[in-house]
Amino acid sequence: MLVNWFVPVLLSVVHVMASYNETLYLKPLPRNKLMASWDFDIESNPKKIEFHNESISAVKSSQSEDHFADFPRALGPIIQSTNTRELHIRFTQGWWDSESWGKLPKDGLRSGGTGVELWAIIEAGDIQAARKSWNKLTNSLSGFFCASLNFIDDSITTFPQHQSQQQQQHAHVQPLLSTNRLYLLRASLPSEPICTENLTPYLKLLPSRGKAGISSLLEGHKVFDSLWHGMSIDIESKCVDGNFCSFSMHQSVNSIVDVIKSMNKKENGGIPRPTPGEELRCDPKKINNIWQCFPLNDPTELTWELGDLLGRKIKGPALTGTNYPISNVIIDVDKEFWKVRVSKFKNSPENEGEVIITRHEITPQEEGRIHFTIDEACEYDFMFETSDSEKTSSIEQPPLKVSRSLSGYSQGQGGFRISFKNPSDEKIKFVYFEVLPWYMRLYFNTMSMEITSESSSSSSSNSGKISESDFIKSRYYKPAIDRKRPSHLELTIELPPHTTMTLNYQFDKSLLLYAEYPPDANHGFAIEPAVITVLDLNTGESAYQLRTTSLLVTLPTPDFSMPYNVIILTSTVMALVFGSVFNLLIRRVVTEEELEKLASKSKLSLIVGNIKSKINSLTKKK
Amino acid sequence: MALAETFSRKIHKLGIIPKLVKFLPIFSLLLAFASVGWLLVLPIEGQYRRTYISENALMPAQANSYFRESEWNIVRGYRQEVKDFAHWNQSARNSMVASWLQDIGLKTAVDAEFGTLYAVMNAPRGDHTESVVVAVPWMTSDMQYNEGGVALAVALTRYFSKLSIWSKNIILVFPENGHLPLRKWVEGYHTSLDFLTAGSIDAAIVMEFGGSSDYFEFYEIEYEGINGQLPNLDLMNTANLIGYHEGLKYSIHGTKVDDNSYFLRLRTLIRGIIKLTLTGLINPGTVSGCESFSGWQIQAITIKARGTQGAPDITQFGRIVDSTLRSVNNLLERFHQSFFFYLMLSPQYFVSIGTYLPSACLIAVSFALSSLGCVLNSGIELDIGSILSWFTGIETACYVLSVILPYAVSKTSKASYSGNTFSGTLGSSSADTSDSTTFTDELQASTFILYFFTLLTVFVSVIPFFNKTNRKFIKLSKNTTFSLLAFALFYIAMLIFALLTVHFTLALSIGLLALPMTWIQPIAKDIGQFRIPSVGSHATKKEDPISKIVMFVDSHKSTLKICLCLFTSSPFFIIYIVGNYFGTENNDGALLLMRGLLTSWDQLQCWTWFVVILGWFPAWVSCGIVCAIGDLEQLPLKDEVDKKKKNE
Repeated sequence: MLVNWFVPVLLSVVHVMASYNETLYLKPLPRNKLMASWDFDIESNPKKIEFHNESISAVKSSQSEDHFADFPRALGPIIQSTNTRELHIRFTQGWWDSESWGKLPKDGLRSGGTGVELWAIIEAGDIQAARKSWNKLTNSLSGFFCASLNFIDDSITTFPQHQSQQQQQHAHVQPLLSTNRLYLLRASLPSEPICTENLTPYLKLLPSRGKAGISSLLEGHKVFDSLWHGMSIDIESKCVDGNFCSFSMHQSVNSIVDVIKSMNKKENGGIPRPTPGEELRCDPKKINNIWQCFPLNDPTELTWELGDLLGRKIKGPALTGTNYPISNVIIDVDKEFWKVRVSKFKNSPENEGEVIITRHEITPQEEGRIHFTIDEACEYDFMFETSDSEKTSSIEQPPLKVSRSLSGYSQGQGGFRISFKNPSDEKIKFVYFEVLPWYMRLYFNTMSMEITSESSSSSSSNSGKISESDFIKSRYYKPAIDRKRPSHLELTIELPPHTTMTLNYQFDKSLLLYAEYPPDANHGFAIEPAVITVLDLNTGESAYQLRTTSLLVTLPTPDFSMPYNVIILTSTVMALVFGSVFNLLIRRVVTEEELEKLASKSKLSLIVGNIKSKINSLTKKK
Repeated sequence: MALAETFSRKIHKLGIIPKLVKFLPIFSLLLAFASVGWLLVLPIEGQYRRTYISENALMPAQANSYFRESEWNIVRGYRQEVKDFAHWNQSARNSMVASWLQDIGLKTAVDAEFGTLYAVMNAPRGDHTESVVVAVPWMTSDMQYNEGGVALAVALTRYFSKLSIWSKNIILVFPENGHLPLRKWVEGYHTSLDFLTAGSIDAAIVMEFGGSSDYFEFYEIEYEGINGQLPNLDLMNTANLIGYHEGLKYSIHGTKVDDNSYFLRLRTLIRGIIKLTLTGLINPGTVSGCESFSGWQIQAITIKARGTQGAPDITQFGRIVDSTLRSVNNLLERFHQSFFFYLMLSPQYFVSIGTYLPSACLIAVSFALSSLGCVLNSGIELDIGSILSWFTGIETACYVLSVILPYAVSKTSKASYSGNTFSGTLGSSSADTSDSTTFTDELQASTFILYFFTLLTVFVSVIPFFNKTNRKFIKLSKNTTFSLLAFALFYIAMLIFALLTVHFTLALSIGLLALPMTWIQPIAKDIGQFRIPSVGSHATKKEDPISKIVMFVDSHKSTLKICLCLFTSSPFFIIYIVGNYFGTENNDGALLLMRGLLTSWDQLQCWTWFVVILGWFPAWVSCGIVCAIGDLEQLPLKDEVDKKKKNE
């Protein structure tokens, strides 16, 4: 009795406490950039869920709506029907400038590489069933997110080794049926552009639908006119007791906004018209007159409003009627140089305009961070005022620098060059995860390693196996099968402090079948970014994750007009052969004398003879 | 079939083939004339085509460039600074420019080998996989301080950073000059540069605006790459179309866009052929910077501002670069439309490969025919065994030379190769002086090689005078003599055919310059024909001294001709002549060309040297050997003998 009474109460408390929560994080960066990240946490109510079997009929109607609470109802059935226990989607575009912006937001654990990245933990009886569910999942999500996720097939899907080992060790989820296993599947589409059309379905997952709360700031045109942006969705199922599970979803949008460019756009409409002569900001120390101007850098004394950059204001809290803070704003600035003011606006029907009700400065609470809660049903805007915009709160450098580039220029072959640099004072351990499409045939015998240490400045290159195993602790390599499986490489590398390691290896490019070449204009074939997971030396858990840029490979492309030429040439040869063979078969063999005799009797030669004799007789007469 | 059969029976009956065979040398000569004639026809109206933009995505001059008005002030501001540090050394200049670029927000790095500064402007939201290069050598190809160019590049970058339309990264490169430092940077970018790369390079523009003038008269475009490579015609057309819309005058090879007459077009054609053949070989003289990008699938052009007095201003020059980059930025694919093989007749007219190729084909056929004539007209039997042994021997020797000579040159120059001819004018760091000593060392070694081989040429060419018919020792049999000669000519024909599409101008030039080789056999025939009657009248005219002299001169007239043929077709003689043509009072062109040939493989991966030493030279050596120790007397052909008998 007690239990029966207690559980609903507990559930309702959970529902009230943590069903939905959102945070906007703002951090000005040097060179007048602003990092803005939106985080949304949604959790469904715990409910008994069962392993979904295709043979048994569809999802039971008893899975009532109240189970999902604020969790998007559209996504629930997709996840349940494919037995997905965890789902992670990343949409990212742009190049992260770690030199100026430091670490990726949330230690890179919620950022992806260029394009779309997707991985999921699927419960299935065997690998075939897992692939089938994966296929179903990607196809369903494809319609959902307006992305070409339906192009995910076996030829780009991998089963990451290190990640699944970690998964098993830390055992976030367990299979519902003891006969089943959990499979971690991963695929990525590096040439998928991320744009406004992906944002709309993304916002629809939120309970506020982007109409209120911090999500009301997310306007496609502004968010995507950034230097770098990424969106992520992470869904995990948390099981309390056996099959009694709830889904928790974390959505985030991260974006680096160029403040000066955005302000110019607002003032000049985005056309880079030359600055009028009198508005030029010239260096007074140098020659400076009506003709000549040595330009100064961008101004560092600035005042701007968030609404100017993002085009909108925050429209009150995401949900009303809750007694705990739902919409939070965290602003990370150096309090010596920055002042932040919050303004509240209310639409007044008389003036047909917005009226500021209050504008007050907010002061940092702890470590220079400003915590602010949006609780009133009015519009909020934040005004930033700085005396020196170069002075931002501290920027942490990432523990590892990685660059990957292509070498060589031929149509038939090429090489990879990957450099890892450990700039820190400590040893670093990381997993290098790389998936390459099957049409790149790797030659690992060509793999060579160069080590450059800053301290000793000694450089040893490819000096045998011994030095290689000093750095590469473990290798996992699964070679590709044409059109069926990509090549999959995982290296666990340990790098001493202040050391740069460069790996080189060669590959051949293969010819595709003619229908496999993209029919439209294309830049080349994009190679997905490699993932580098820096491990915590003590716990072995992921401490930081970063990705290389994607690469473009130009494959040998045949001249597609060639079949036409071949057909023409072949037809000609066939016609000639036919003619001569036919001639040989039906001809009558005669001697030359016979031929001449015969020829003299032919009609044509008779006519010619007649004409000749007539001419002869005419000339003789003359 | 029947028709062909009738035809061949007729030919057989009338005995046309032997008659034709007799005229083979004349046909060969006619074909050589036809080859030149073909080229002469190309500039005639109606034979060439007008340039056009083939790739629609380029959309040149569609977007308005806002690099104007107050941007000019900024260009002037930067130029003042650039002018002020003209005498600083390279690293100081580079670090100054690097600091400006960093202020604009670019990432900079220095390529260690030549201290070349480069900077990357990342495209906002770009996927970091493709890029466009703007290269600004500190010294222009005319050895002027590239003040305007550097200032313009920085000002343009500042302007570019305000736009958010870029889908490709922009790389700026500031090499000391457009030759080796730029080449090594390009090579390094694709092999060894880490942490600051920006994906594959689609196109490159080398920008030259020497001097501190605000105005220029017209701009010139250079486009020739090494090994006969040319940038996609679309890129050049894009730049030119933009120039046209800006109302600028532009030129290639000294022909302006307005100039349009048959002879000007012909001049441009010929200049283009010579330039393309020699690109990468003479430094300075034929360096334009864009050839440094050859071989990496990068389309590159050089844009040079010419003149200081004129209506167009420096920002207009900048707008050409801006709009061209924007056009390339529009591309969804790499350059693949339009033409990769073409000859320009003027900035607006060109002939494509299909139209000009027959010219070199004709000359190749001319060599093949005279090779055939050698075998058929000298009345010999083809001696394949001795051909192979002789020719393999010669080729092996040449192969050894081809490797040893460049090695010797690079060895004598002690330090690692470097061709900084511009040092002294700019900066005075120790690296620069060592570069110039390297250069003079290379030049000295080349001097030795050139003079040695030219003397050898003279020597070999003179030997035929001493080639007595009755000499006993080292003598080639008649069969071997003519077989080897025929093979040498055939070898050249094959060489031309092989080079035809890859490096048309080199193939054509070798064909035309080696043409005298084809005349050796017909001339040698005169020796035989002269001597045959002389055998009969030997006794009667023996005592007459005058006729003896006449006879001697007469008999040596052919030998003299052969000597001349040998001499003029020698590759080293040609190097000497062509080089001197391009020489200036300061530089001995012949030596520069020789040096260029010997060092261009190591430095630029230009394989012209190997074509000369492994293709042309062995054929010439074979001819030389034939003339020196061969039996050049030819047997009268059967029908001639028959005729003579009849007459008697």
